[in-house]
Amino acid sequence: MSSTAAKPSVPTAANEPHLANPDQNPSFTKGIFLGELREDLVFPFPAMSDADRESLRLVLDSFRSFAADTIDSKQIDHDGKFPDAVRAGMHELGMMGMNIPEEYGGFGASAQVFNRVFGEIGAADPALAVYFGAHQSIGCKGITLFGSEEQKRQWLPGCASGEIVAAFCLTEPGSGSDAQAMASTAVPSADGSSYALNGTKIWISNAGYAGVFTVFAKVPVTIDGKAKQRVTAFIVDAKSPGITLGQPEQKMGIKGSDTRTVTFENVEVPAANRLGEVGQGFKIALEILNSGRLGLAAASSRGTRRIMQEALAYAKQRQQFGRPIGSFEMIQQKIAANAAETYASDSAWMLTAGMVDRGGVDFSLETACCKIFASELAFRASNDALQIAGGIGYSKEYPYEQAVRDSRINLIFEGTNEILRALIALTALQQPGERLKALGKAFKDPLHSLGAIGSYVAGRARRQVTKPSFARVHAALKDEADAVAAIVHDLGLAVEGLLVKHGKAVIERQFLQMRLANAAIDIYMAVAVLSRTTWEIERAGSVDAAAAELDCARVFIPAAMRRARRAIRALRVNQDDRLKAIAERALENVDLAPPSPSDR
Amino acid sequence: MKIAVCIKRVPVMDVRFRIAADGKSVDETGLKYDVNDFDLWAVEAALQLKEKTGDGEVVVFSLGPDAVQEQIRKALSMGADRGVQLKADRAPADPLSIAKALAAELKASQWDVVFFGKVAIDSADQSVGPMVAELLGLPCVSAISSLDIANGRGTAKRELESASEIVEFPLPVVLTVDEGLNKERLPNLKGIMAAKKKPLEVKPAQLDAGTVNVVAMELPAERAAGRIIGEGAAAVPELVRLLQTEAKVL
Ligand SMILES: Cc1cc2nc3c(=O)[nH]c(=O)nc-3n(C[C@H](O)[C@H](O)[C@H](O)COP(=O)(O)OP(=O)(O)OC[C@H]3O[C@@H](n4cnc5c(N)ncnc54)[C@H](O)[C@@H]3O)c2cc1C
Repeated sequence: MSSTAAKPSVPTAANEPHLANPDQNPSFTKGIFLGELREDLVFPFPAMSDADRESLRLVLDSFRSFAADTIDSKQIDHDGKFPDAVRAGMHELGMMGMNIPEEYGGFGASAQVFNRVFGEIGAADPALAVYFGAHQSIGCKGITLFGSEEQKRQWLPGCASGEIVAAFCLTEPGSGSDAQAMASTAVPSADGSSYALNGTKIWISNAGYAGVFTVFAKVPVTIDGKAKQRVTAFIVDAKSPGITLGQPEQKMGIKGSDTRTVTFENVEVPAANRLGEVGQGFKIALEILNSGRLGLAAASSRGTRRIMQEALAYAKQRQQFGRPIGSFEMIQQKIAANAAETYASDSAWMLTAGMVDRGGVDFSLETACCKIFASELAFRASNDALQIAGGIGYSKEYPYEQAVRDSRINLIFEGTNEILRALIALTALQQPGERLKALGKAFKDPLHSLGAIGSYVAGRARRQVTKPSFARVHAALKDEADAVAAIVHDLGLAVEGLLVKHGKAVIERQFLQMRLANAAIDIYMAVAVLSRTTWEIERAGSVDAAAAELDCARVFIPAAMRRARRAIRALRVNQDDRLKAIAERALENVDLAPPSPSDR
Repeated sequence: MKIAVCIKRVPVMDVRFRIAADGKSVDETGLKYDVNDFDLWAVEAALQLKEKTGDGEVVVFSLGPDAVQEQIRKALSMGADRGVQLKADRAPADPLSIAKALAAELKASQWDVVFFGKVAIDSADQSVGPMVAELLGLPCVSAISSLDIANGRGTAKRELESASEIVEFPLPVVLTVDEGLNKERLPNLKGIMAAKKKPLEVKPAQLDAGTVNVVAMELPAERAAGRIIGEGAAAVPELVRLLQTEAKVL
């Protein structure tokens, strides 16, 4: 007789702050800008542990049964709110504590499990995924990551049960992408026991339900005799006097999600509710968003699969010209292209979630890559699904138009895709310089300072230029792996050339940044596909048994590398001056193009 | 109250089944598994009974390979206290073999109620529960759709063809559960976490060779494709005629 208990879950580092030590935490994507391939960071593919897989299956089964009985996404979209049973059911299932550590009453899910569940919720109802994500991906994640023991004990158990819904308050009327431009202030009282919080936050998801807000505001400090303002994070009890909520915003999509303005007027926040140190707020916000973004990627991937599933069923059944429309190659092209990209997107968010769980890796650029790629995929795929459905695609009776509206938000929130592209390009360019001089500095905002470019160039010149290559990719993917390695080499050289040519002025050159970011995204996706497909072949036991996966890999990687090659080439050979002239003329005239001949 | 529930791991039925190369078993590649529906209602009944009486223990048994631990843990996630796997390479085709192995294990303790599902949706024998009752020398009430237990006695309803009957019985008893008795609870995250820490004992199943064997398996004949008769009101008379003469359902 023997006795077994379930194998313990692999410990996850998902709830530890990561960027605390940027110098020591290696980053795969930063590496590729130096022409380096840190294969150890992306191989082997981080398969889920058996224990995680089993818990995940149970959670998904429970959620699906609940969703089938209770969630009517079309009705939620129509009503612009959730029926009480939906939120109550989510709380009852324990979903609100999914990624809150066990010792504070949560489930302590790994990033892989959490994001997979996020995807499932998003596929059932995107607005509900926002409810779930605004609460724990960003709303109370700051408390989990940076809270003191007392703060965690005070807030997290309530958050885990759903009794306290959390919201994240960063955006302001004058401060969206430029988060540091915030005007909200938190002024310490004379005795230092509290802060007086004033300001207006807009677009706050979950505001109407919130029991607690994570709020970012500027605290006045004196440094070297000069008055300065330092962004600081606070945990604000929603019951505090002085808080007023606006009416729910009328939105294009995710209508069930509650989004409002929150105004703080002389709200007294106890000093004990400050999250982290004065001046750490911006770093805290970024770290929360860095991991939060992965949820949007996972939800977008799953959403793509779901809406295309509708389109696939329709394409099999709808007959025109005496045959199913799915048999026409223009329809098959849409199916295949989205399939290969979904394969890539799934590979990348899973790989990145594995990094989050492993810890000791800087994954900030990887989550940004995943979010950009997946959000743009989901929007495009929803549109393709709508096109496959033809006229009924445009009808409110079918799910397609809602999918187009709902998926659109992911390109905007938790960092617009433009801002994330700039972040990818600039962080990567800045990194080597920062390494040299950042030791003393807790954090620097890559979009506001790009000081050490000069030292980067010097460092790069000294560096041995060795050609990168893959050693761990399955032989069946040798050609693809070689192509990726070659592009990484080219990217390293191109970055160097760019810095030499433009120096610091590269901060202003977003045409270039966009191309750098796009190349990096495609490379990271391709690398994730190499890693995952290698794992799939090993798992399946033979190349033949993984034919479906290999087909996706062999379609995706060459296409992605063609895009990347074009982007890298366009760093040198481009029409940027002319593009700029056209854009500036249009802005000047507030008229897009030269007058139409019909108007002459 | 000491309550045993015997559960079976079965394939989820929303797939097309294929017959394996041996011609007498199901090809398991790509199948997903879950707890047999009727057994989930049995677990739910056991949990409700425990909750009502306020004390006691719900123990879940399942016979089969290590994979059945997943189904046992699902029952533990719902709230059962501990699990026992009777380890065997596979659940044999002869229900009497299974019943003997379960009875041998159940005999070791005193139970107030032993629950089964009425039927396993894969093998459809409907016999393991009643056989175990026989082997344990206990009364058996099969296919119950309502249940009330108090003061050492129970009352249950059984759905018959166009009628139902109410039966009374003493404890201990073996009950097999029909549809409609309850709706099973969903394991929530807390339950799933708690289940990981609950004891799950593994013992070899005392299986005999059995005398009933599956010798061949066949798939049902393909259904004829549907036919579109026409559109709108004009098609109705023809539809009615065909439903009467061809399909013979009217
Ligand atoms: C439904 C919804 C829910 C939201 N939930 C929350 C929430 O819970 N908490 C919260 O704090 N915020 C939330 N937001 C706010 C969201 O994060 C912001 O809308 C987003 O960051 C963009 O800010 P903005 O709207 O001010 O746009 P802006 O910053 O004004 O940007 C407008 C456009 O300019 C571009 N742009 C701006 N700066 C640059 C630059 N330097 N380079 C290139 N392009 C640039 C942007 O990409 C965008 O295309 C939510 C928004 C929506 C719509």
